[in-house]
Order: sequence, then structure tokens, then C-alpha cells
Amino acid sequence: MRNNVRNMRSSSMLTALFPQVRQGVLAATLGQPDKWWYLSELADRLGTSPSSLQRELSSLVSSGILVHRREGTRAYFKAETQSPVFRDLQQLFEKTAGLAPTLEQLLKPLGNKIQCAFIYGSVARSREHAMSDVDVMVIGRAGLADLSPALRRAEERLGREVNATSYSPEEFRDKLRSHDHFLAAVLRRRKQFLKGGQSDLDEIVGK
Amino acid sequence: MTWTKLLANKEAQRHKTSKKELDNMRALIARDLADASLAGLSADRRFATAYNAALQAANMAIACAGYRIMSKVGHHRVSLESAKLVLDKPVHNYADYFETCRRKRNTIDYTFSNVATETEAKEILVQAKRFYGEVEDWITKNHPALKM
Repeated sequence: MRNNVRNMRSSSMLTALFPQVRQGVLAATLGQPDKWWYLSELADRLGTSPSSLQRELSSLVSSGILVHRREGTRAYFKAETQSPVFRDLQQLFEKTAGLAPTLEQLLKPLGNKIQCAFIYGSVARSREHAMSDVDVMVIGRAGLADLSPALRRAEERLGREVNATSYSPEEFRDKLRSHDHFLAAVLRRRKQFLKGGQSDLDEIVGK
Repeated sequence: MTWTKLLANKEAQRHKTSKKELDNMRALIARDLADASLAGLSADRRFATAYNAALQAANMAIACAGYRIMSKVGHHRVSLESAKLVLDKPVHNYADYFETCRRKRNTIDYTFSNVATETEAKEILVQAKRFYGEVEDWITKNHPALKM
């Protein structure tokens, strides 16, 4: 319930703050701040035409939120990470349209088939680079067949590969009890929960 | 993705299949499905073997439609995607699922061990059997001369 309210508020918050195209440009550039976006690549990602982005991009560049460079006839854009508002804006988008909210929203229809889900690896530890894959662990009755349509949609929206590992609660518990090296390492490190939290994880493990 | 584009990019070629060729593929699928059920094998190996059965099932449908996917970089992805051009829409979700499995299988075969979980290895076997069943049903309906 708390997650539902958070998602509903998140999307309406962004819409109240920014027009649709600006939202899309900021979500893409702030989500992968090291990446230089070619104009048509950005348009393709947002499902619009390059010409419809021109005005937004000029405005964001002139205000110092984005930077641009030219290579021959091509114009590239990226987030201005030196901007004094960069981190604040990035946090706003992370909380509303970023990885975790997007994945949370897409996994939500699977309901109780997922007991607990979280992002792990370099993305969860905030040590990712622009093209880092997103690793998601899912514990419950949802298999990869259930997860695949949501993963595909997440990849389309986020522009990066999302890989899932699925465990039944029994297998997860058994592997941890037999000191599975991979699982132990994942659980020791930082996680971003998408469904449930540490207490749900402890419950599955039987702590 | 269209056959015209796949042919132009030399990712596919026209191909006339035969009952004999399909029966050879059926035998290969039967072998892989049996091997993927062997409890003594690792979850990784069972996963990769069941994936192979599903890939061959996709290739059977493609062959019946009159094409063959060329063996070059990315041909598994092309096979799974182009199976959607052939099979009925309700079967398309399998292609998305096996595309997820394709990446895991690549990691299993070329990068890391202990990648597939038991849960995933059991699931792909069930899904590969169902998908193969759907392909055989589609062949019976659309290409009765080539049916099992």
C-alpha cells in the first residue's frame, strides 16, 4: 500500500513540475550522467522526433543543466555534473522516474508472487558507469517467464539491460544455509529494495 | 523486424525444409529435453540444454515458414525474435522469455559458473516443453505435411 501511494505520487509530482518532453530528457540524462547522448538517440529513446527536442535542449543547455558538444555536424548532450543543482535534480529523478521506482512499478502487477525483490551489484552500490547492467534478485513464486515482460519494458524505459535472478523461497533459504558464496556476498553488500525489505528477507531466511 | 529486412541484412536466407530435416531437429530437441531433466547435471548445464531445445523449436517454426537464420554473431537473438514473425501472437511471450534466458545462457557458457538457480533450471525445462508443444501444434495446423 505504501509503495502504491509512493508511485502514484511520484509520477504526478513530476508531471506537475515538468512538461512531458523535459521530463523525458532529464530522466535520460540524469539517469546516466556520464553518457553523451546524440540528438536522434535521445529522440529515439523518448519516442519523439529530434526537432521536437530542440527547444527543450537549448533551454536546458543555456540554463547550465545540460552541456553540449559538437562533432562535425552531430550535436551531443549530457548532464552538467558540475552544476550546483545537479545532485538535487538527480535525486529528484531517482526518487520519481529512476531505476528503482520504474522497476517497482513494473513488478507491482506480479503482486504476492514476489515475496522480496531488490537491486544488487554495482548499481545498488552507486558505483555503476553509464552502461552498467542492472542486476535484480527476485524471491518468490514469480519465475523468469513472469518477469520477462516487465524486464523488457524496464529496459525500453531505462535504456539499459536488466538481468534477473529468481529463487523460490525454499531454494534461497537452502542455499544461504549451505553458505552459498554468491548469495552471501550479495546479502553482505548494499541492496535497493523493490518489494519488501530487510525484515521480509530475514523472514524468508528464517532468522 | 521483417523477413525482407532479415534477408537484406543477410541474417536469414530462404530455405525449403523437409520432413526429414524436421525429424532430425525433433530428435535433437528430444535429446536436449531428456538431458535437461537429468538430476545429476548442474543447474547451469540443465538450463543451457533446455534453452537449446527451445532455440531448435524456434528454428523448426522458421524452417516451416521457408527461412533459415544465418549462423553469425547474434543469430540466437534473431531466431527468437523472428519466431514471432511466424508463430501466433499468444506464443510471443515465450520469445521474450527465451530472450531473457539467452543472455543467462551466454553468461553460463562463456563467463561465469553457478549462474542459473535450481528454480530457473526447473522453470526453463517446463517452458521449453510447452513452447515445443506449441510449435508442433502450429506445424500440424499450418503445415500438415511436415507434422510429427
